[in-house]
Amino acid sequence: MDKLQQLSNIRAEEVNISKITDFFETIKNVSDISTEGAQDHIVKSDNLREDEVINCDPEEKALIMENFPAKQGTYLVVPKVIQ
Amino acid sequence: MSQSIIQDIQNKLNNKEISCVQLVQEKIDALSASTKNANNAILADQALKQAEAYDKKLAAGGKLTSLEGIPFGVKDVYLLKGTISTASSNILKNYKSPYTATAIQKLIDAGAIPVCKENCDQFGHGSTNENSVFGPVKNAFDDTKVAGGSSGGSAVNVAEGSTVFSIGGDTGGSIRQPAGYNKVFGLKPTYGRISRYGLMAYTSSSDCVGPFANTVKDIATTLNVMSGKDGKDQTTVPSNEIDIDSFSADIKPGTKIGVYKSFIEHPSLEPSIKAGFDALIEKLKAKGVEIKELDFFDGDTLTATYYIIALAETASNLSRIDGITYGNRAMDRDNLASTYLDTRGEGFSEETKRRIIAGNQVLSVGYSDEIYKKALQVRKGIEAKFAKDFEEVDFVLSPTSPLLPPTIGDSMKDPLTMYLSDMYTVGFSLGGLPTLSAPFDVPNNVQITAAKGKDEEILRFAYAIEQGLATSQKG
Repeated sequence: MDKLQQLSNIRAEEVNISKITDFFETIKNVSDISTEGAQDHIVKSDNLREDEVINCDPEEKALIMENFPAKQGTYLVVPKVIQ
Repeated sequence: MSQSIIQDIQNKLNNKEISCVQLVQEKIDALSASTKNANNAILADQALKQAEAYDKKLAAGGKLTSLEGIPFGVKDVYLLKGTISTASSNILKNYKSPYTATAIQKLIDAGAIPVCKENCDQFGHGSTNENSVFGPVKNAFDDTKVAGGSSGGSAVNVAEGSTVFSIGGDTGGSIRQPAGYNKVFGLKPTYGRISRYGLMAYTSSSDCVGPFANTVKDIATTLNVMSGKDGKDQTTVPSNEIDIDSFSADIKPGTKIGVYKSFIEHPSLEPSIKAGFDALIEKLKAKGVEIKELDFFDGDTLTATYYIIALAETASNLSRIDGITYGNRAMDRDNLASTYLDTRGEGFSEETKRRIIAGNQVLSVGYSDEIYKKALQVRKGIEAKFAKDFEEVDFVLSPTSPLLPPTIGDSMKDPLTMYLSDMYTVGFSLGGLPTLSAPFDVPNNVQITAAKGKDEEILRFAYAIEQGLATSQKG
């Protein structure tokens, strides 16, 4: 299997990314970039709130449990990790 | 033309010309009867229940205020507690939202009634709304053409009047371009003005929540309700409430407009779009607006920069969707690796898989420095150019898309053309700038962009054009 599919955890034999990789050449060829005056538009992490323990709303908890893909009685079933 | 459809409807409700239940039922009937495939779910029961509560308030002598009683649509990438939220994907086809997105909750708290979850491109991956497990959305004015994307269902519902307003999401043009294809207003606010909490992440550094509506004042009204800092989204910024009542039909004297030469001289720009754009510029000149031509990055560089960053971020964001704690899991595989491979292989569409796989390539050894970090550097250059330009002009005007809406089926055969059709929208996304897509004179709308935080100035300028200058492009 293709390494990128393994890296992506996706089985996707039919997918062709060659059109997207054309963008790589475009970006490589960009030159003379002036960044003077640029403002970071992502907010800096200097205004963090205090950690706070909040109990999950029971209705929200029930919905999270309902979304679990596999259950046996009250147990949540996950794929076998150790072979 | 009405100045505010929200206000007109609320006046009718308060004057008891129509009940809220009748209003919501009318919208549900219109959504059900529509042949545009714009909705993944219609929320009839809960919407009618909320409408009954507002009728009781009116019957008791109360008056509806803010957004009370107003039906609206929600793009199916927002969580709305207790409803199925699919992102138009197979992997989340049965996923039930455990909580409600901040922006949607604020609208509900203001009294608005969600009536539908709207079809969109899967996880926002597309510009035509064909990348959906529910099938393509048809253009509001031509069943053979695409609605645009990724928020196509939201744009079509507003264009058809099936919702009073709808909430879309815009990462690289996903509100502005479908607004253009369906001739409604669509706003991408300043990055961080509205909380992204509860929006399924595509490209976190440029994802924005924004409204579609049929008037500028309705855009401003919904923006006021949704804006504000949110402790659940560290990137949110404070903003002032827009004084909508003081909007004027006169353009502010001394207004300066910039036009990017690389946009209007691009060879792929459709001649009818260019002609409409030039005509609008002439009208503005006649009103005393100063026009300045500016140099800017070319469309190919903007598109490449945007897609490289978007692919990297979506590969990271969607790695959490693996069918282990939620989502449709491929069962009974031999080992954990096969469970992941098949869950995600069967759960994502071809286009979404293409973006995730290419994103992982961008981030891998040998590409990260040369491609991804270079794209981040170019993005800084784009931000620097915007900062300089908005010292010289108040707004930049541009077409929204170089192409007229494609025929359904054509774009999926040629994804590169679809990506390049985003060339006029992605640059403003990379800059985090506010941009309004407005149905003035230009086929596919005109984009009005200003410096960061100048959302109100854009809406004031657009209101003046709407009331005094523009020719309706509906249909």
